[in-house]
Amino acid sequence: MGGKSRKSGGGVSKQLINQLKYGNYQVNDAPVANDKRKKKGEPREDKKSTGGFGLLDE
Amino acid sequence: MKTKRAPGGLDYWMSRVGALHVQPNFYCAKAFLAATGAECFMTEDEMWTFVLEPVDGERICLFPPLPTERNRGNGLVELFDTIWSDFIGYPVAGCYQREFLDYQYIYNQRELVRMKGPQYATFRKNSRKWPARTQLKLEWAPLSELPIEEAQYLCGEWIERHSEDLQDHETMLNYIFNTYCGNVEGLVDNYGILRAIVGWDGNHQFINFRYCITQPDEPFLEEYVRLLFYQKSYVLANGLYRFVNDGGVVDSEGLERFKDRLNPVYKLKTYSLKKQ
Repeated sequence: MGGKSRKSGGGVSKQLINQLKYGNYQVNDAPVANDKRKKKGEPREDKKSTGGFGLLDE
Repeated sequence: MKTKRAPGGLDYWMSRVGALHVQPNFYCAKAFLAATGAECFMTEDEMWTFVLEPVDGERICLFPPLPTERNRGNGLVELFDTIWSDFIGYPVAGCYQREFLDYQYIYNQRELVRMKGPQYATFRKNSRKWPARTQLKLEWAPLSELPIEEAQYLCGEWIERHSEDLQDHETMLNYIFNTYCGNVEGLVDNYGILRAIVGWDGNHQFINFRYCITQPDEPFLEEYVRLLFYQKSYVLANGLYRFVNDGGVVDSEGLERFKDRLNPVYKLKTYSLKKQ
């Protein structure tokens, strides 16, 4: 699962955990499906995923 | 040594790995490399290509340099003092000493999904406990279609729980939320609650089971999610002889015992290379 660190030192900061848990973590805009992204609490359609087959053919 | 960026970047690197029939290790996948911020370079004479990752203000070479298509002689090079991860069976110059990095567990998803025989008794029992206890079913959904706050909250909870022994969480978060190069999906229960996030990718030989983030305080949820992924990977392999590379143990003895009990087809060792 995951990989070993290449950095010296390290550790997870409490600030990062709080950013993740309370919505302040900055992310890049998704190149696809932003218009499909649900808001919190919005009901989901009953929909199967595509499985993303194409991305495996690297 | 003078270097330049390789035209084609990481796609070019992956194409050389495939063309040279190198057995790719768990880290050798475009999606993972993109999340680390690594880039593909070549020597100025365009004879060798390699991947460098910026770490602590320097660039480290992640894999043994590979000959470009212009390099007919192949041969062995000593371009870097250290190489983070070797390729199994791939020759390197004699000046390098090997230092254990991690294992790689390779599983036959067909056998793992069937769970037949006493060797799968523990996984068979444990992977059924969470759905039996909760009476919930999980369904796959692309993460890009789920509320980002829920995905981030789950990651925050999971990282908090694993903060003492977690390694390379920056790459994990980039992979899930920033680089959009791998396959990242959520598992949502009957009530629409996000229970897990799974990331996977591939190369010309393996499906790489990269990340498995599950709600803390849900005993045996991780085993159930693992089973769901292996069922999915059976479909992803699409009838081809393409096993799952489940990565290593990241210095965790508990994880090593867990993965040993899943009956890997191969348990391989990966080494870092250091010049003597």
